[in-house]
Amino acid sequence: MKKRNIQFLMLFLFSLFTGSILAQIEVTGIVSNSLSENLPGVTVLEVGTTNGTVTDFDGNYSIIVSNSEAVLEFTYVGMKTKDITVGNQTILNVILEESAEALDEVVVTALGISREKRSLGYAISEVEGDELRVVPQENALNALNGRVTGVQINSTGGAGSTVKVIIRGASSLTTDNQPLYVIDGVPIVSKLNNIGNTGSGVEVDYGSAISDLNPDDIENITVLKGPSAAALYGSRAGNGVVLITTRSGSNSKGLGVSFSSNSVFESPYKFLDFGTRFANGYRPDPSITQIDETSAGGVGPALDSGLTAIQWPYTAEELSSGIPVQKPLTSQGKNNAENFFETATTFINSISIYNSTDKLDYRLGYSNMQHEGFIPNSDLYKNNVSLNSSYKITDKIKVSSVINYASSGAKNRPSTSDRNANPLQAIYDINAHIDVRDMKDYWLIKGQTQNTPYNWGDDSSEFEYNNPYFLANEINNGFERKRFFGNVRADWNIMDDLSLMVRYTLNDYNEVRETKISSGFDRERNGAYGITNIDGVETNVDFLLAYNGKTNSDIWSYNVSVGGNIMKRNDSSNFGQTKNGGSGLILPNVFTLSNIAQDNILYGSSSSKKQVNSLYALASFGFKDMVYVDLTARNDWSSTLPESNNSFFYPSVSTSLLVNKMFDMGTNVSLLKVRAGWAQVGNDTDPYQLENVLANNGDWGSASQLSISSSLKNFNLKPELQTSIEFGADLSLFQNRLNAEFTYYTSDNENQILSVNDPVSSGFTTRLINAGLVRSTGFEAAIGGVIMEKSDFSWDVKFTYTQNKTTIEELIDGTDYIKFWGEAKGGAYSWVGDEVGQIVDRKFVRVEDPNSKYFGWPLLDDEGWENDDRTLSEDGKRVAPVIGNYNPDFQMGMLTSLNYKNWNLSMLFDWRKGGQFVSQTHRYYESDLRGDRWLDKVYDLSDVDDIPAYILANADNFLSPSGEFYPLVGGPTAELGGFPYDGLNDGVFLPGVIGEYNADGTFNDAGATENIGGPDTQYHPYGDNYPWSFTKASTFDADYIKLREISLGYSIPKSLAKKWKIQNASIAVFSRNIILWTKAGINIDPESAFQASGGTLSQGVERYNVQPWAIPFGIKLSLSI
Amino acid sequence: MNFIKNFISILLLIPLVLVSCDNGLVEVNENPNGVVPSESHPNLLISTVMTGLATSTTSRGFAGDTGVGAQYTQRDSWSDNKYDWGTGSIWSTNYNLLRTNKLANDRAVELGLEFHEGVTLVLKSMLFGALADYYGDIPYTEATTGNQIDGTSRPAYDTQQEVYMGVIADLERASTLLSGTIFTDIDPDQDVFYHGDPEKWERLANSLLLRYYMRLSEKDPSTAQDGVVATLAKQLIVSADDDCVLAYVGGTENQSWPNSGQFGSASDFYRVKPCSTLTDKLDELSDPRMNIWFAPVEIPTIVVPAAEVPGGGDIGELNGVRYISDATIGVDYAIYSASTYAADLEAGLKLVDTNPVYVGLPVAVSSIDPFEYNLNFEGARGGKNPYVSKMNDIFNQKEDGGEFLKARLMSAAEVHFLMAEAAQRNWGSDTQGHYEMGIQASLNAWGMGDEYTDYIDNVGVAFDGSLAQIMEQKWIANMFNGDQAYLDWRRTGLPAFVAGPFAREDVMPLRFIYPADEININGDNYNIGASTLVETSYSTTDPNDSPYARPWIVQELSSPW
Repeated sequence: MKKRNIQFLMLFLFSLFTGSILAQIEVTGIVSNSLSENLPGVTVLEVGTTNGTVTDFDGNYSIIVSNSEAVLEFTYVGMKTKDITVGNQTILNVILEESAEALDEVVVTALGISREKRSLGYAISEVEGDELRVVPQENALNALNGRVTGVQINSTGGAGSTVKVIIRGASSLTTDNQPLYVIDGVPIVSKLNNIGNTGSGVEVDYGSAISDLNPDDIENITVLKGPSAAALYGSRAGNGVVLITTRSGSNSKGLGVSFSSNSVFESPYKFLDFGTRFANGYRPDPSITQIDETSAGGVGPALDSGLTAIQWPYTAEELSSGIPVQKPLTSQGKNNAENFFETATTFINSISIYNSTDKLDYRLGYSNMQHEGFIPNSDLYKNNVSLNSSYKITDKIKVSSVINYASSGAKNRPSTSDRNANPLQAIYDINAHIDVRDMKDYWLIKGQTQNTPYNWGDDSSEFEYNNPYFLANEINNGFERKRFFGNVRADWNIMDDLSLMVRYTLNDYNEVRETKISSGFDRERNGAYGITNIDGVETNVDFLLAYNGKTNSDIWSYNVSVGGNIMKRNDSSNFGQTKNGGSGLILPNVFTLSNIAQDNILYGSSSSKKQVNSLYALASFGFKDMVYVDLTARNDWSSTLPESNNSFFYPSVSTSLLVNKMFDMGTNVSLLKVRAGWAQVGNDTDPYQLENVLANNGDWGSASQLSISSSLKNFNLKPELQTSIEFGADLSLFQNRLNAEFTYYTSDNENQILSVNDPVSSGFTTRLINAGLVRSTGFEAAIGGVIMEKSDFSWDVKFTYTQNKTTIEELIDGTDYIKFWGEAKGGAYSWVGDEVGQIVDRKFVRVEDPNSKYFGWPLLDDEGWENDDRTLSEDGKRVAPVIGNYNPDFQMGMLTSLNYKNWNLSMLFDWRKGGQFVSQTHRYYESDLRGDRWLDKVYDLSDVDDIPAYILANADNFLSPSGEFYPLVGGPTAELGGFPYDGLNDGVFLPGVIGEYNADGTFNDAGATENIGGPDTQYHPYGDNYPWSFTKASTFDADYIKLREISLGYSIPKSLAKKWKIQNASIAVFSRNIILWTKAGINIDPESAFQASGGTLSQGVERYNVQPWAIPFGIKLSLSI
Repeated sequence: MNFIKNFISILLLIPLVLVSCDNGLVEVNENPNGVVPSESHPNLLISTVMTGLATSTTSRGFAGDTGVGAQYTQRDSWSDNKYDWGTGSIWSTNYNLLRTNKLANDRAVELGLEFHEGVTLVLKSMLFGALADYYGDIPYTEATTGNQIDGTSRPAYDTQQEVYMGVIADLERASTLLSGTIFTDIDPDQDVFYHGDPEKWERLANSLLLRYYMRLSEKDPSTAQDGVVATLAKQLIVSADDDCVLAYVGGTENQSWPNSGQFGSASDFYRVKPCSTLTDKLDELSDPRMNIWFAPVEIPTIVVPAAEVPGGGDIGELNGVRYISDATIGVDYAIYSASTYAADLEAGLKLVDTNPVYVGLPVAVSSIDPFEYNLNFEGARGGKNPYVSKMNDIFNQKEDGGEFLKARLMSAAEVHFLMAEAAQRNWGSDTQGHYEMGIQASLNAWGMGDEYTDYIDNVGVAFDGSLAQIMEQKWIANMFNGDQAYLDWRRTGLPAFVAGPFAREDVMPLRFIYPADEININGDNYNIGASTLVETSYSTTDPNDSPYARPWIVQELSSPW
């Protein structure tokens, strides 16, 4: 009954789109391929209707069409679709041609050379622009997540933040490992160090260069993953290349106009876990009559238990009478933060006009993006104009040009990384008894003093914590970036076989960052102001002469090209600002440089230049369309290296064997290709790495202060050398219904330009050297296919799998390890033989004498505190325990698309398995006892009669290295298991043994005191116990499953389009980046585990980079005429 | 095909053109952003070393390891004052400054600038001297040579004795260089200590010689005696006008007096409290310097009969005075006294300090942060405990602090006390005269010169001829130069500091331990250096490199313990 109802409903719905059936004609026929083999399962559809059928096992079909003007569409995987008007035919036999798309698929390779994919001896990944636009993204790269293998993409925060892309593992130990982007031949470097720091405690991510590209302009993206693919790009391609081709008018049939409009709404729904049980304070003393609003601690008197105290906000009567009143202590609940956040909105509107004639084609596009964030007063905007045109001067000469202008910016990018100016932190630091809405009116004295909690009786300006609304509204980090990039090129078909391309490319950008801080910020009480100008210009001039040699027979074919490139890059910046933490502005809230007192202004400028000259050649040979061999060679001359080492050469070779052409494998195997490649890429360095200049430390009164840097540079640097080998296979089965690609690679990165640690007693703390061998190995697979294909229904699925491991194989003598960052008492360190990305901790000191009866017990000090051993290594061996790795074990993507008539449902899932991250948020938050997680972990043994016996009975958990890491026993109150301590019941103790070692190294059992709840146990107040000395306390698993994209779309039928005289119109609703599951379960997106420090981003550690989770809702409208 | 051949031959020329471009690449890589070290002038470098040395010494001596260690101050929050010394920050601070100082010294020698050579030798001596003082054996001869062709990035250790001898030799040479008459290239603005006055630098070099010869008084008395006797004949800093000081210019945190709450967190200032060892002593001596250093307690405490406590109960406050019922004394609370407070704490009593004006924080008074001291029950970390005195507000400034906020590295007071000590040891003359001039110089430095005549006759101040009294007044006069106060204690055991009830050990430590980088990166040399330390009964639970192990300077000696 139910089923029939649904069928009826669906029939009803479809009839809305189909119209009525009039004069009917029956058409029959056979569908076959060019070899006269009949094709079963071919879809036959009357265009513009839902009327359709499928051919039987012998290729026969029969269909009743509405009238003689009906058009039948024949579609079959791996074959070109054919449309035939019925006319007065009743028998229609159809021959379908094999689709070139599948077997002769042409892809864009290095230098923009189009090649047949089957001839390539290396793996590349391609994504079509249409696919990228299914679900609109503010940054096009985010759409690559899960779609391509071998690529790890992390967006470091909300909209407009830096996107980190790692291709086949981070193989360089010192650079940011970002790939080279080449947009229509224009190289664009997209670095990670986009952090601005004007104002004390203000750190802002202004986003990476690649986000200036308009996703709507992209025709396709090709990812060249290994050196084999990227060798021709030379020294900049060591981390892979992302080739982006923008849309042109060349494919359009006459004049066309496209318009699309996207609206996205995001409401936050998941926040950090608030503690709601206690008011502010250091000990939960119920007799306290006044809350200490400025305390960092979160275990004051209990909330919601009938207690009262003098507390902020103070009422008008209290303030006017000067007599404070004790009010009930009540919590504001778990959703206090929700009241602060706003619904984020994004609107993207794009329009393009394109045309194609015999001589001229062009596409002119404009796009506008407006975004408002979760945090009040945060925004982002972007405008893009692009013109892509080509003109055939003669039959042999074509000139073309791509011009892009992007202007992006924001009135305010909130500080979302470190403490202090970050509204996200401020919102989570609010005392549990305070309603965040009481802070919305954030001025106490407008323009001067924040309305923020202070203690009764104190000066209201002596607060310790900033009002989140104040931070959001009165610290404004604006920026505007204008980028002009594009090329002019000429193509000359000198002869049939010989062509020359000459090109000039330009990438010119200017970014202005301006920070305005009102008076009243606790770290800049008199306000602050700063303006920074960043300029960069890169030009490339290149040529490519290509000879396409075909011999008379079909047996041999060859192509030879030679080319050259001159790259010049100028970067400069200048800034002026108040000194961070200085005396601020002269007149409040007047934001000009001239409003900064002479001795408080900080200014500076710097510039750098770089040039690389290159020559290269490539040759490819084909034999009988069975065997292909590619050879490439390139030589670079880089200005950044010393004269004696500045020329470097590297070759590559790759081969592709089409096994299915060598042996008859039947019609089910369309393609079986095996491939292998070997390649080298050299890599230079940044300008001015050979010798340090003196640093200016600013003035002291009238004295200048110069100093020599503690980082020693090197006059004898050599280029780095990366050598890679890759093997793979490509397979297509059942007329391309099932496709698979597998690749295994190893990549050795030698002579790395490394900064190694020196002891400061040598005068220097780091030294630049060439050393080391870092090896990445990995496996990538993509398997996709058509699961079901019926007349009006189809279902495609594609899986991607990426696995990479990078290890340090060699360093130099005297350097045992490389440090990537140090935070939370531990850090990311890797020793020789270790994997990159390791997180190490301090050692938890335990009884080490195996003959002691306390062997393995925590060895506590006289006061019952744990001991930590901070020794990293001894005799070259690691002492510090490894507690994780910030890289995943593997990542998998699943892309699925369901088509039913004019409806489409597509979904992209992304699963990260393995890896860890350090949450400094939790470290600070929980050590101040603000969340409930730590409280819930503490063992409440109030029900246990004999605690020492219980602990001994459960020694595996409480006292063993393999048990609980820090099994604290007790609680903040008697009800929660606390022991009597100093007049209250907030005592806790750490199970272990207090004792010491004898001179001969044996543990002194007799002199030891068991600290397990017996009479000699050392108790501490609960508020003082958090394993602050150990990274492990705040290290979490990074596994997650995300629904990256989901979209439900409807396109109007072709008949309707015809009637309305438009090309196409569609509507879609979508959502993206929905976090379905995280292993850690702490409401932090592990993907955003980045911490800004020292101008760059540390991976695998975050500190208040905690955007709330949201499920966006988006609508997309597209129209082409 | 001819066409192709021609075309290709043209193309082959392009490489040649490109390769010739190679020559220009070196110029592209010339850094426009600064001066290369080999062309630098020492004038621009010495200022950096001077400000770094002066500010770091005062940070340490005001509320850092040695200010707390010498019992001038105690930390109220995020510190336990337990003398559980770790690596100290002086290692990296001083070696970093020595790098820049070495370049300045090398350039001075290359350019033949004797004033600058002398100045850099004095600075080098102060930097290395402090390193040897605090660690024992240290990299010295091979240190800071990582950028030199014949240098090393893994410097070997010299013994503490060798370093002291090197420091003394450098100071002797500096003294000679600076006693010249013709100097070139002096830029008074760049010399933030003495405005380019060679004579004052010479006095500083000689005064430092006196300090370092005296450092050997117990370990190597004959060298000490010869050196002191010879140095006393030289020009010394005997007037407070010649003190080696750096005036804070203010404006930013690193140019202002340490722990000013005007930058960063306001509580930075409140976290530093006077130590009761000093407040008790100043009280006892009716020392006028108390008023300039400390602020009177906001809410004094008095113990009264139960009936007089306002509002009844055990504790009450009225009109800015806190009253505590005498019934609680000996039951819950005990009145603070220097001699009994440790025992009272151990008996589980809480301390009440009833000093009406200056309530200091006793040494190592708590196993955790001592912000609750003096019954500040509702206190918080970094809070403004109203029952304990704060530092005088002048130390909480954002601007130039006038005549008081100066980093003081060597003073006429210290020199006079050294001379008094020399005389007391019969290595010089006029013990009492120098003792009194030392006190006067210190009072002058703190704007209390007028109080001298009253003060000098006070009980406990009037000279009794003992070394203990000289060292006590020297300790007071060295206020905020915790280094010298602590090192004097280590040398002589005077003043007779007590480590405090919650200190890590019953005695005060003898040194800092070596930093982790030495262990991790320079391990072979570190092991040799650390192996010369001698274990004590307090260092048995530690590796050899313990704060309680004896470096050479206190080996086989009975002082300080």
